[in-house]
Amino acid sequence: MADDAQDTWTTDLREAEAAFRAARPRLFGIAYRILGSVSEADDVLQEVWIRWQTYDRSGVRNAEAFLATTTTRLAINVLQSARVRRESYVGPWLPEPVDTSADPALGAERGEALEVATLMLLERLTPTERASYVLREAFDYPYDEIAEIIGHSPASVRQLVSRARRHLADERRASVATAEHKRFLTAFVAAARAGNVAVLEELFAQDVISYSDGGGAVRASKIPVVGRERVAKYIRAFAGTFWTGVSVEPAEVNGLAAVRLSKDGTVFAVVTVTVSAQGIDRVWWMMNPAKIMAA
Amino acid sequence: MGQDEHHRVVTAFGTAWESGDAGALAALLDPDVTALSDGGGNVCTARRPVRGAGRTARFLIGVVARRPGVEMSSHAVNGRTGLVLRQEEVVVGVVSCGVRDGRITDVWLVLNPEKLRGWND
Repeated sequence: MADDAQDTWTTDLREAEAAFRAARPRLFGIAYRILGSVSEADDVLQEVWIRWQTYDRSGVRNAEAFLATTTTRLAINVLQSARVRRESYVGPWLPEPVDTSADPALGAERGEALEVATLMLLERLTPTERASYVLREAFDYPYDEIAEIIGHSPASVRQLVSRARRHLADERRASVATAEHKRFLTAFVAAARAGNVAVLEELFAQDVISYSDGGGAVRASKIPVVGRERVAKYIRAFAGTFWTGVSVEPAEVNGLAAVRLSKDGTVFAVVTVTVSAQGIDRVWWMMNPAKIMAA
Repeated sequence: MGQDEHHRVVTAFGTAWESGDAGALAALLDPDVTALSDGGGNVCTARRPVRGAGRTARFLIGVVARRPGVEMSSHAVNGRTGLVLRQEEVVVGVVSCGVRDGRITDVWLVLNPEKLRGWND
């Protein structure tokens, strides 16, 4: 090779290296958020560097955009095969934690899609949904640019991102709703046990209904009791005898938090409530021995 | 929820955990807390989620008890306050937490040495 050509080649490679180095934090931020793994993100970046080094860069106008595109596409591919491995992982699979003391947003415009809680939720999205969400929410990419990167139409990228957002919001809401439901149930059991009408009325929706299911085998009101004041008074009426010597344990009925009531070591009832925006709207007393055995 | 509450709760959680007082630790946990730990098959740890304040507190204290001389400090983990467990200067665990209403609702415990390489470079 002639000296001039050698010089040009060296300069060119040095520029390529500088461009890669400058983009590296962002590229790592993208790959890590899509993969939830430092080692897999490092592998992706190494592959990007090799491709970039050997690519005909004369036709590349925007080095950073090119590198981000290559990184995203590779990360999507790696995630597809990583998913299978994660399913057969020994015990729970968790994202590889990163030290963010030096770079709190990990190469991104925003600290989005970085918290471990969010990365766990992102595991449930498809790789393309996840990549679109990451580029949009953490890196602020315009939809048409994301569309070019992942090879979809801008309209379908909008859909992918909004589906991902909705999915994450639903998961978060569900967990808040579960906690809220448990608070209502705990407060209800305490007030029912104490026969405290005022607190019960406070917890109930106006049209609350109390159902008892004794299966004909035990004594229980066969007719549902309806209305805030009536249900509260009904519960107070039997509070004295019903709860004596009863121990209460948490239980679950069809995925809903409930309590199991037992006396002298024998379970005799399972109780749960459902909650609407107005408060507790249904109370269920399951005292059917056959059903309790199953629960 | 703000970073302040998260930081305050996680720091108190670390202090209670390090003290080994199961009661004090359980008091900072949501009654329905879940702890997930990733040992990757290399480290002996719970392979199933541990649920409930009492059980989680005992489980976490066991994690520390099995590692004599372990030191705990708060550190920025994935953009939020988390905890780092060190044994003779080596990071042996990194902990992230979910916080709601002043209590810990989730504990994510990474003990797998392969996932801690970046912390020991």
